[in-house]
This record gives sequence, C-alpha cells and structure tokens, in this order.
Amino acid sequence: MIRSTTNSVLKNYRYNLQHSTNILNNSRDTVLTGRRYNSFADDPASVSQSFHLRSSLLKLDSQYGACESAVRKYDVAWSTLNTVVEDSKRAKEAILKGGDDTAGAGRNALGKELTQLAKDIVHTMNAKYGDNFVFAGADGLNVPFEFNENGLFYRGINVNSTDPKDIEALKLITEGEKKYADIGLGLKEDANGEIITTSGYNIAMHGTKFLGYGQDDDGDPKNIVSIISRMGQILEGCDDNGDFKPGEREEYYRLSSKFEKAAASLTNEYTTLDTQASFLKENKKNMEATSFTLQEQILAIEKVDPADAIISFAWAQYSYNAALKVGNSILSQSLMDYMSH
Amino acid sequence: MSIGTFGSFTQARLGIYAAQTGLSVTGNNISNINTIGYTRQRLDQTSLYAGGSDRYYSANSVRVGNGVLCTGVSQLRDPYLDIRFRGEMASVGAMDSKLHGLESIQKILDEVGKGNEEFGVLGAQFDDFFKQLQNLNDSTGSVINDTQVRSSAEALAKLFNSYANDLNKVYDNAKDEFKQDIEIVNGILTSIRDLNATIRKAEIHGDSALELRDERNMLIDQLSSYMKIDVTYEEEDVGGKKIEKLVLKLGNANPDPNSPNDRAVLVDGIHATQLSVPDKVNGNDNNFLLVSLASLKDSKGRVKDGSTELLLDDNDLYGSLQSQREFLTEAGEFASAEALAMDPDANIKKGIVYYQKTLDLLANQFAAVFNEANQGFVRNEKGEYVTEDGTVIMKDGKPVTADMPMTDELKKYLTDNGGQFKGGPLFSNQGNGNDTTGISASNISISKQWSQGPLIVGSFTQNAAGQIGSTDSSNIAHMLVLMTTKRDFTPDNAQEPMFKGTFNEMWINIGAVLGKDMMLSNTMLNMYKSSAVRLDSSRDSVSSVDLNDEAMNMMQYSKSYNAACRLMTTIDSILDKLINGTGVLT
Repeated sequence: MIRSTTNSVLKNYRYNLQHSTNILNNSRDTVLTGRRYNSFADDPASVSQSFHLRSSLLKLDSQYGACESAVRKYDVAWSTLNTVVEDSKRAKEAILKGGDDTAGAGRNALGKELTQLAKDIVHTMNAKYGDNFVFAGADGLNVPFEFNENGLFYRGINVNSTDPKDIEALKLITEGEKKYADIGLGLKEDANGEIITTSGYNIAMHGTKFLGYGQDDDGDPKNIVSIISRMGQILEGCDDNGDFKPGEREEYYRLSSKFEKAAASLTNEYTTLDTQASFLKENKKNMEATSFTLQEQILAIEKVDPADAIISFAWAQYSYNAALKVGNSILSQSLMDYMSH
Repeated sequence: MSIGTFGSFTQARLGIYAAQTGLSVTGNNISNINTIGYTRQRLDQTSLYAGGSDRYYSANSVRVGNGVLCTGVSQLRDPYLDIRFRGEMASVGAMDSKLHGLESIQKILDEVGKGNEEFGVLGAQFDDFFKQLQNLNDSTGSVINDTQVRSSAEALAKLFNSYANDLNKVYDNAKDEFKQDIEIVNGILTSIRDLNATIRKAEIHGDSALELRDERNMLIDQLSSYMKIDVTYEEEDVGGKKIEKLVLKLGNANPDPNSPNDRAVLVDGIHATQLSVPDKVNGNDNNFLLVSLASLKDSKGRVKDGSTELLLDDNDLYGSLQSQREFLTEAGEFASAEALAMDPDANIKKGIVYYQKTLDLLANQFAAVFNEANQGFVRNEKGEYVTEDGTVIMKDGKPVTADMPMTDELKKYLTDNGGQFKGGPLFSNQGNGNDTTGISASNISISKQWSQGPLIVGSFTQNAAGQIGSTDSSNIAHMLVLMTTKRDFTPDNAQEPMFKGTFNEMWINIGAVLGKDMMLSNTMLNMYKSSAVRLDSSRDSVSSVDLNDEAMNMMQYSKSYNAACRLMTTIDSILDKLINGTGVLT
C-alpha cells in the first residue's frame, strides 16, 4: 500500500482541483460561445470541414450574385425582345396592308411606318442593362447596332455584307463568341484552357442571333430590320396611285415571305431566351436551397446542442463544487490534535 | 566484557540522548514539512555492544548490551523513483516546450471564431477575392470593379505580410527564450558542481550534508525537464576515504546506437560542462542551432584531465531544450538534404520554419499563378498569336500558339514579330516595383503597375473582326477557375507535392496540420504529466513528511525518554541500596 503523506495528499488535491477548474472553464466557454471547439487543436477534422463548408458558402454567395445579375439581364433582354416582337407584329400588319392593292395611295404612309418600325427595333435592340448593352455579346461597352444610309451595322460590320470575310466574322461573333458567368455549375476548363460549356453559363447575347444577318440565295437580306426597312423603302417609292416601281412588286412579295421567316426565327429565339431565363431563375432557387443546406451543415458541425452544453457545464460545476468541499476538509485532524501533551 | 557496576547509567544516559536526538529529528521533519524538496529524515540508531575484547570469559557470564548509539541521520529516498520521475520529466519538458511553441503559432494562424461572422480572416479574404473577380466578370471593363478586385488582393497581401511578420516575431522570441534556457541550464550545472564540491568537503569532515543533497536533488529534478539525463553516484578515493561522487550524463537520447556523444558527461563531481550554441560549425553558419559542450571544468576554471569540447549531434538531446531547437529549425517537408542527412525523420518534424515556409509557398504560388494569368500576347480564337491586323505570327513555318511554354526566347520572338503584349504582373515583391522574383508571404504586394490603374486583362482573344470585346471576360473566367482549381504545392527541394488543393484548401490545411500536431502534443503532455504526478506522489510517499508519522515518533521518543529517565532512577535507587544500605546494621 502506498504511504499517503500530508504533502502528497495536498499535492494530489492541487493537481486534481486544477484539472477540475480546467474542465469547468472549458465547459463554460462552450456554453458562452455555443461552439463545439475553439481552435483547430480541439478537433482538426471538424474545423477543416467547417472551414471548407464556410468557403463553399461564401463562393456560393458570390455565384448567387452572378446568377442574380444574369437573371436581371435576361429580364431586360426578355422585355426588350417582347417590344421587338410586338414591333414585328405591327410591321407584319403594315406589310400585309401594303401588299393589298386596295391600299392605293396609303402605301406611302405604310412605307413610312415600316421605315420607322425598323428604326425603332434598332433603338430597342441597343438596350442597356447597367453600363452594358444587352445585345452586344462580349462587347457590352459599345453600341451594338448602328443604322445609317449605308445599312445596318452590327459591331461595325454590315449585316447584309456579301463579303465572305464579313459573313465569316459575323458568324464567328454570333455563334462563337461567348461570355461565361459562374453560376455555381462548377466552372472548369478543358486541357486547352477553354471553359467547358456545361460548367459555366454563356450570357453573351448577340443582336444578330435574334435579328438575323447575311443574305439568302436570292440575294435578299436575312436580317429582319433590313427586310422591314427595304419593304418600307419600296412602299414609300410607290406613286400616288399606289403603284410599285417597276420590278419592285415582285421584290415586295418575295420579301414578305422572307419577313415571315425572319419573324418566325425572332419568335423562336425569343422563346429560347425565355427558356434560358426560366433555367436561370430555377438555378437561383436551387442555389438558395444549397445555401440553406450548407448553413445547416455548418451549424451541425460547429454548434453544440445548448441542452448538452448546459448539462455538461452543470456537471462540471457540480464536480468542481464537490472538489472544493473536499478541499475544505482535506487538512483534517491528525494524531497531533489528539495528543494530550 | 560484562557491564560494569555503573555501566547501566551509561545505558540510561545513551537512551536519554537517543530519545532526545530522535525528538530533534522529528522536530526538524515537522519544521520542514512545507520546505520544497525536503526529504524526510530518520535517526539511525544501533545497539551498543562492547563485546569480543574480553581476555577471558566465563561460560556462565551473561552478556548484556551497553545501550544505544546514534550513528547518524539519513534521508528516506528511493533512487529508482528518482530515475523514473526524471525520465518522465524530460518527456514533460519536451512536450510542454513543443506545445508552448505551437500555441504561439496558433495565436496567429488559427482563425477559428475569428473574422466577420466567424468566417475566418485570410481564408475568407481568398473568398472575397473570388467574389470581386465574379463581380468583375459580370461587369467587365468597369474601373470600379477592377479597383475592388485590387483592394481585395491588397487586403490579402497585407494579411500575408502581417501573419509572416508575426511568425517572424514568434521565431525571434523563441530564439531568445532558447538562449535564456541555455543560460539557465548552465546555471544549474554550475550550481550542481559547486554543491558537489561543498558536499564533498562536508563528507570528508564526516558530515552527510543532507540539506545540501536536497538542494542538489531539486536542481537535478529541474535539469531533467530541460534534458534527458542519467544520474549515477560513484565512489571517489580521497586520502583513503571513500567519498561519494555525483556524475551526470546525457541520457542516451539519440535513436542512433552509434551516436558518440549522447552519453556525454555534464557533471563529474567537482567538474561541470557549459552549453553553448556556436555561431559557426565547421566554418558554416550554425543554422541547426547545434549545441556544443565545453570541456569539464572546476570552479577555478581548471580543465578535468582528458576532457575536451564536444559538438552534440542533432538528436543527442531530449527534453525542453531539444523541443525548442526543433521548434526553431524543423521544416517538415521543406527539410533540406543537409537536415535529412542529420536526421532521417526531419521531414516529419514541423517547427515554426515549416509554417513560415508553407505560408511563403502559398503566397508565392498565388502570386505566380495570377501574374502568369494576367500577362500574355493577343491570340485569335484558334489560340494563334496574331499581330494588330490579325496576321498569324509564324515560326519555322508553323503558327506560334498559346499552348507553347512562354519562354523568354519566345517572348522576344513574339515582341520582335509584331505580337501584342497585354497586361502585367498583379503582384510583386514590393509595393513600389513590379519585380516578381522571390515573392514570399512577408513581401507579397500589389505591383506598382496595378496600383496605378486597372490592369486585369479581360481577354487575350481577338475575334474574327479583329476586335477584343470590351466586356469579353474569358481571362477573368479563367481566373475564377484558377481560384477553384486543385493544384500541387511542392516545396522547392522536394519531388512530391506536400499538398494538392485550392489556395483556400491549402490555407485550411495549414491550420489542420497545426491543430493535429497540437492535439497530439497535448495528449502526450497530459499523459506524461499525469505519469510524472503519479511518480512524484510515489516519491512523496517515501520522502515527504507526514504529520501522523511524526506524531507517532514524538510519542515514541517521549515515552522512551521517560523510560530512560525511569531506568536511571531505578539504577540510582538500587545502587543507593548497594552502596549505602548494604552491610549497614540497623
């Protein structure tokens, strides 16, 4: 049996009391901070996991901002195109009226209306969201469409140009130029450093995609504004009786079917845009749900159950009080106190 | 020889004397109950027997002892417990010092509970940088957004600077502490040597010098937490008299069995060594803070015969001094070939140097990756470098493309052949320049070029119309990808990466490595400490004073004193009868 001495009892008591005080302090800290740990050293695995989740949450927050901005841009694009589609409907009406021989002298007025509508569409398509022109693709700081006596220009290139170089350039811009937003789809690059299309969201909108560019096999413009403008020009060129200039009647009727095609293409692209906007809105909702889940996970890792924490604290306090009580009587009487002399 | 007539008086006298001395020893024990390091004393008695010198003796004679003799006062001490306690204290010292060092790093690098809404500080700044890049990606061409990215990057660089500077301060303080502790150890060695000399002198004169031994034991206990030691007591012949000699040696700490110096003598009786950390070792800077032992000298500076100066190996020490050395020198995965040659485990030991170098590596890679991403020549959509008019630049009959490594030679070729250089370094090694060499956590800054205005390149790609779109952000999207790409973090001198992950993950990993090391050290420290407390209790159970024991001794000595007095009275009474009453007729 080990010999317990006055001093060894005191020394052990001191060591154990210190231990008990430490436990009490730690459990008090847990109640006050509400955290399971106060440093990496307390639980390295949980802290790492929590910081990863917190970092994901912050990233998600910024991706949510990008998505929200894309949604707003699509909203502007949607209402802009809505106006353009309405304008094209009005143009269609005017074109139909203009094609009717009973219109007579009214053809000039219809022509003026069409010319004005063409200009209106161009103005509308130069809409801005914030500082950027919505339909300028990746050149948002510069006005995309310019309409002058030489025709309609998109980013400095005549949309009706027959020069193969211009046609190629318009094609590459319209179909190839992209501007990716990171909306939480896991933005990644392939081996060549190109963004993998499914990992980002292409928010570049090209006016030429909606309005068309180039010429068809008949040498007629594919661009709806150019078609309307030309038809307006033809109607304005009719004489007082409403008769077409020689050869222009055929052109007018040919163009009206081309107009139908261009308008159908516009409506088609408009519908696609609507679908894309819906996807973005849905994605935004998903991100909100993901954010909520991340926050839940963080709380589950970091925070203590208050009931557990308080019970642990109460227990630590109880143990500490008991230790104090023992301490009060640790210097108990010895044989010295019972000696008669 | 049988006892003489008055011999019994001697018995009583010796009994009284022994009881009184016993009470004195008890009194000394009680008085010193609170003296730290005091060892309980005990009176050594022996029965006096004056036999064996009779010339003749009768077979009928009865031999009686002559009383009691006090032969000395001894200490109750268990040397085996001393050895175990001191061995454990070396481990306590080692872990305590290690934990102390790691805690000072923790105060800087551990971001738990820190930052806005407890999102951390430097880690959250990486995410803020990402956020500002997102905003710039959304509003490419905006000066305000470029400025915001710059401000975020600047805050990140400043945080790196601040953490690195704080680590440097910790390093300096730890080095001062190490040097102070070396001085303390030297003080202890000198005190032990001087006590040895005093005890030796006392022993020659027949005094056991118990209190001086207590003092010396306390110093040895103290020394044992600084370094693992072996304590042996040898005999020294002084003029034919055997005198005890204390010898302290290093405790065979080096795992290499062939290490020549890990049992070097620290104290040999009246001679002791002194520790020092030389500035140069074999003509080179002493970067590993190797410890040197001076030759053994006595208090007058005379060198012990055959003793020479020794340079300890990297692992010859164990205890708090060694932990301090390791804290100041160990670089973990950054360990140099020289360090690995000295200690094959050097790449798993992580001191402050490891954390400094890891932080430097993170800052350096971050700067290098973004500097590279923000500089280059304009290319077409096929990735071919083009001149301003869109002409593809050719070399050896082939187009020069962006996937070719951008060497200085290629850079010059492109410049000479109409290539359009865009951008510039975002980070440099000082705020008032654009030098990107040797960027570390302590010097990373926003480059002068960036501080003067927007510098982030939105895109290097010229479209078919020969334009770079004013809001083309393909390069910013690339930068966003860089922030989420897992990359290898490889120390300069290593083949294998120490970590693979994003910049933020690398930062979290630094905290996790520190946390794991601290958690392990803490567990070990608690284990060693509780073991040391147990051993100390065991030592106390042998050596410390207990009031009940002393009360018993008091009663015992008091009773024996009374009995001896009674004996004297009885003898007096019978001798009175014999002398004064015998043959007297009444």
